[in-house]
Amino acid sequence: MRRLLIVSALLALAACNKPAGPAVAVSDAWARATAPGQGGAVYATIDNNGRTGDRLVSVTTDRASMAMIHEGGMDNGVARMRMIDSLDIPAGTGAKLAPGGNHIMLEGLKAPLVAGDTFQVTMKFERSGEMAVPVSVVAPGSR
Amino acid sequence: MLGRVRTLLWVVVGLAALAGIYVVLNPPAPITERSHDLPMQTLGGPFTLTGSDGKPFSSSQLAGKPAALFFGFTNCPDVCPTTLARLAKLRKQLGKGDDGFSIVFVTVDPERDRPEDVGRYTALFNTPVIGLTGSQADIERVKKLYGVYSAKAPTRGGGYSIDHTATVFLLDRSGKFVATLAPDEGDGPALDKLRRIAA
Repeated sequence: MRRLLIVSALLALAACNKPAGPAVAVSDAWARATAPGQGGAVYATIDNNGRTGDRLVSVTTDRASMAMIHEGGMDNGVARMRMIDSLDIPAGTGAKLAPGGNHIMLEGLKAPLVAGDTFQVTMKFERSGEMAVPVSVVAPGSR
Repeated sequence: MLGRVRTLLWVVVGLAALAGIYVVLNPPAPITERSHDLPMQTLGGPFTLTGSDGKPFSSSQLAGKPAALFFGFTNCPDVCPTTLARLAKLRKQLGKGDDGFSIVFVTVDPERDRPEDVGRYTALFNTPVIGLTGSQADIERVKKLYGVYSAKAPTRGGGYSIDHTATVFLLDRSGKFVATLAPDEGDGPALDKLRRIAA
């Protein structure tokens, strides 16, 4: 009986481990170096280990006049990208911003992004609120 | 009963005639010109554009080495650098240094991409990339040679992005078009193709 109690207590604890709300964490944010006048793209891994989905609703940075959430993809061999208002961050799977897919487009960069630099963007989530994310700039040929 | 069947048959005949008239009056829209719609043999051909030094660049200057041709624009933050970085990586994996094949970037945005813009962009990759622009007419001609589609897509900031064919065109040593690399093609098959062409 006592063992059973301990086991059920442990199980209850394990269940509590997962927050009821969203648990959003952003990692591996990076961007490629840019040429003067060119726009940039930010990629990142957005995990959500909670039990509720969240949404990325806006991104800001003082490095660019505008940061937009872009949906990218291929349609019959044609590359397209479109601005979207928000990006779903489902519970469990999260979302990946990766080359050739969804990304944050930086328009009107105040200075080109230089390999080796790190800059900050602020990602705002509907439920999780704002998060400051450091972005590493890499040489365009390196990843 | 028989009369009813006859009436019905006449209705069918009438409908068929109407359909025929409709098709004659409204012929189906021609298929939009895209690389995958064209027979491969018709792709390619000689062209002259403008190099990043502002001087004319003839496709004959590519002869002697295989080449990978990609159409994009310098303000394209995602697919274009991703493709060029991929080509640079594949060239390294081929193990023949920069001699393996030439990487050629042709802008589909000559309105914004001047020779110096294309030059600064291609210089980012730390490996030789030939950047080409030209007059709108020059670019349209080369796009047509390769069946490349591109169309402006306005952005909310008042600027524009460009939807464009992301296929890479592979030319052999003599400058003849031989194969394509699709954006979603694995690196393994892509490397096999490049090995055959660079052999």
